[in-house]
Amino acid sequence: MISYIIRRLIQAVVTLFLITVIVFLVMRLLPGDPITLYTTEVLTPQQRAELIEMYGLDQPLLIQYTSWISDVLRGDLGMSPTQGRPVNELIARNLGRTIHLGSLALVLGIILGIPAGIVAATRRGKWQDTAATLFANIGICVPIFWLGVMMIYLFAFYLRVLPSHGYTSPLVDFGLSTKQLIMPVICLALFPMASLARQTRSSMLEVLRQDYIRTAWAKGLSERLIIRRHVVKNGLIPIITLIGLQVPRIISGAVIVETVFSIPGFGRLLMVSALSKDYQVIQGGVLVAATLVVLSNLVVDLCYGWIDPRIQYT
Amino acid sequence: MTFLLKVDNLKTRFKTELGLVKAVDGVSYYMREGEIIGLVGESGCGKSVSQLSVLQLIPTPPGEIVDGEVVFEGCDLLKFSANSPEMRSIRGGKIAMIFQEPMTSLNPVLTIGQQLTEMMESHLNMNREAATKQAIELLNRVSMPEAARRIAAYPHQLSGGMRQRVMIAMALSCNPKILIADEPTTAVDVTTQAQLLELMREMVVHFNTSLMIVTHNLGVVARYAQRLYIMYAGRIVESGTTKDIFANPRHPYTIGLLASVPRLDEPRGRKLVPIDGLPPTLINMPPTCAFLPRCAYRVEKCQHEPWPELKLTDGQHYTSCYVDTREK
Amino acid sequence: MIREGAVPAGVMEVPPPQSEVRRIAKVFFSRKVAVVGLIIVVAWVLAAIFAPHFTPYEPYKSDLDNALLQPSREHLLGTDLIGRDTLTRIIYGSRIAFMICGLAVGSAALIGSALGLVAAYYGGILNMVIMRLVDALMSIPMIVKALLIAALLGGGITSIVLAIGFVLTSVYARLMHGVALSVKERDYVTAARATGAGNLRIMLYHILPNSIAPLMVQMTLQLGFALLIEAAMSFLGVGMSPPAAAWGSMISTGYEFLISRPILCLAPGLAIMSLVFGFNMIGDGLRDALDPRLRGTL
Repeated sequence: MISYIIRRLIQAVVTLFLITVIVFLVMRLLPGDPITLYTTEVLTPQQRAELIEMYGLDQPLLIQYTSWISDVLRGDLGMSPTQGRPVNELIARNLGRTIHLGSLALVLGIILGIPAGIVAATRRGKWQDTAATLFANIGICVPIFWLGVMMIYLFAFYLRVLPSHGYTSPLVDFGLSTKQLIMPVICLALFPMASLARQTRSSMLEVLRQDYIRTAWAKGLSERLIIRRHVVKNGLIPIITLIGLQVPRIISGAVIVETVFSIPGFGRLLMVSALSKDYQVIQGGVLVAATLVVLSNLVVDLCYGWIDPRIQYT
Repeated sequence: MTFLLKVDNLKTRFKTELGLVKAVDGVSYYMREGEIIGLVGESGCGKSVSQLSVLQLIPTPPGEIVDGEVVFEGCDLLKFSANSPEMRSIRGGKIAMIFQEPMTSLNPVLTIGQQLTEMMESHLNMNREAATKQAIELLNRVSMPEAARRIAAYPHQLSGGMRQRVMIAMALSCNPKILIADEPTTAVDVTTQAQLLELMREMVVHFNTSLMIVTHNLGVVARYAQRLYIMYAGRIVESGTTKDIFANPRHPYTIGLLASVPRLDEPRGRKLVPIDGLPPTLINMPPTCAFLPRCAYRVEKCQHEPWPELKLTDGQHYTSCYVDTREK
Repeated sequence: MIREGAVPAGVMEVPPPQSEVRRIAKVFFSRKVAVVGLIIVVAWVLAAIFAPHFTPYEPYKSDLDNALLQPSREHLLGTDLIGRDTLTRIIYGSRIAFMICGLAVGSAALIGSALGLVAAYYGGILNMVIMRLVDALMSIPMIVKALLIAALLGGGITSIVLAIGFVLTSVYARLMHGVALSVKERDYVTAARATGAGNLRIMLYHILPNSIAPLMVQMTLQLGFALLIEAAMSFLGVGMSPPAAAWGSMISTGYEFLISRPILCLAPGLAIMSLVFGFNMIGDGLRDALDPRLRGTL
């Protein structure tokens, strides 16, 4: 078990390192004047030469990388040319709202999606299964931005019950905050919910096919006991990994949802920066997003190791 | 003479995308108290399915028990639905079954202790403490070393042989009248095989349980079973005492089986004679004898007549063949 | 009933001879959803190919006199802000959808598989480096990756195809890697090598055929995903931009008139959903049909 933890930690660190390398290379090697990484203004040749020296763009790539990575490790992600503020400050200001939104969506997806999958598997072929499966299958086909737009039309304009945009901290005005979050959270939660329902169903069905379930039946145990103790416990193990997989999806979805609902979060920051070619923010944002994903995968794997006795006791 | 279990004309079918499979096509047998019976046949002949049908463990959309009676202690079990409390109390409580693959037949996320005690808590209404004590006792009885410690172990920490012992312990935990062992030794090595079979015989004697060994391995039943049923393509083709069948096999299939197995008591240099051909697919079978294509004793009659019924030849020995194979 | 399941092992030891393709087709077509999906996709394909025949209007010609009309008999879905018939643009939009998704998924599959195959086959450090890189790439959320590439490359079809392809590549690398690893150790590969088969031959004749089934399943499922990403990107402004009749960008331009003409947003969205649904259901159906172990479980 200890060796498992250590191995996973090392893997995470290596992955993060490689991500920095990839991001660095992608940013430097793609077409275009490398100076545009640092500024969006039009420059005179002299200004350009000055800036190149200042940012060390004439140095060999390896030197550039080491100086960049040492900044990053100290928390310095550069300065945004379009907004004139340090990137880490911009991200820190906005990340909280995204995490708030994202966590709500993830929780909603889990508490609706997983039980739906379990019900569908245990009532296979009956109407509960058909309904849940159909809902889940359609759920993974819905474009998030479109759903947002349609919901805005229905609830904000037609029925006038919800605000069409904006974000308020729940600490400031809980009621307004909730109203503003209902639509974005539902939009963001739909795909994870549907995906989890589908995967839970197939995981449970896979477990139901196993020999040890046949043994459980042969022991004359009640259906409820079998489901609760034998099926669900085994079936949930792969689902944990799946929950981890939802984190990058939610980050991706947040970009869209925050744009549609004008929520000033991390996702919208990335979006705006992409449009204005603010590469410093994009670069920093990619690093932060990837770090979140790696961390969540690590947490998930550790949980997995803790729950599956085959890993715990080897 | 009252039978503990009498199965009469059991028929189980499966609807598959390739057609209707008559996995069990009119199987009848009986068991008495304290007997050890062998059900022998190759893969796909329906022997496992027949036992699963007794306990109604057949997955029911593709499968269906369409006919027959399973009379246990005077009561036809097929009258009860598969999920009924009556069947549930029979399973594990009165008739227990152990399966072939010890690797996958135990739940990997529960300790052995939990898997042992849940049966006793369920059937015998014991509390956790008493059940745990009993579980340790059972593990000792099946010669599991360090039973008290192993109670908290997970299946993956045990070897195949030990897992099979756990399965046996589990099966016997509620003192069933019948233990069905479906290919209990196929997945373990030869030495462990012998140990497990000895163990099962001991248990049978100690608990006065009847034992049904389902296997394709004649060697296994030769030593331990008192009576044999030979199965082919969903039906019983020969039945009798073990001694009798080994000494005077009557059905061509049985003869073929015995000829293809090496024996210590036969002259050196005798060639092993495999049975020609392949086992039949059980879909859309013709009404004639299923062994016909591979039979060395076939006569004209076999081509036209339907598969023969089991006929008494002598003593308790039955066979389903038109030909008197003693003449060849 | 909870105990439904597959036919127990041993009941059908010797299946009657039947062509593999026939069997796959039979299982596939027995699933209603898969058939529905196939019909939907085929319908869209036909619409894309024969677009000019279905539509009396031009998708790109403006007709300001008829701008922003309600759905009527002449214009079944109304017109947009410069008078173009919505239905026509949706049908033409399917061309863009297929083209982008097909190219993106195709190139991702090609490059990703090659990477995964080479990594698994040659093993060692190359394997470690490539697969760790793939892991690292998969840690970056998809839209974020797509934004990155799109921002760097500007707009336009090439950059979108590259961006989406970049996003999808890792899946194929992993897939091929897994298949190659397992096949590599099989006895028949050792036998082939013993008879002098070269590396390329082994890769093409042994590993590749084993991977076709899971590859096809993934590709179909990813087509739906690619479409969703493309639509999102077009909506956000980093994908296809007007006047292209891309469904995502239609929704983005239609947003302005959401209150008065919601159909401008509703219709393209439904188009996206239907095509994605079609792809997904085919993918599911293929997965069921091609993997005999899963028979009877989905």
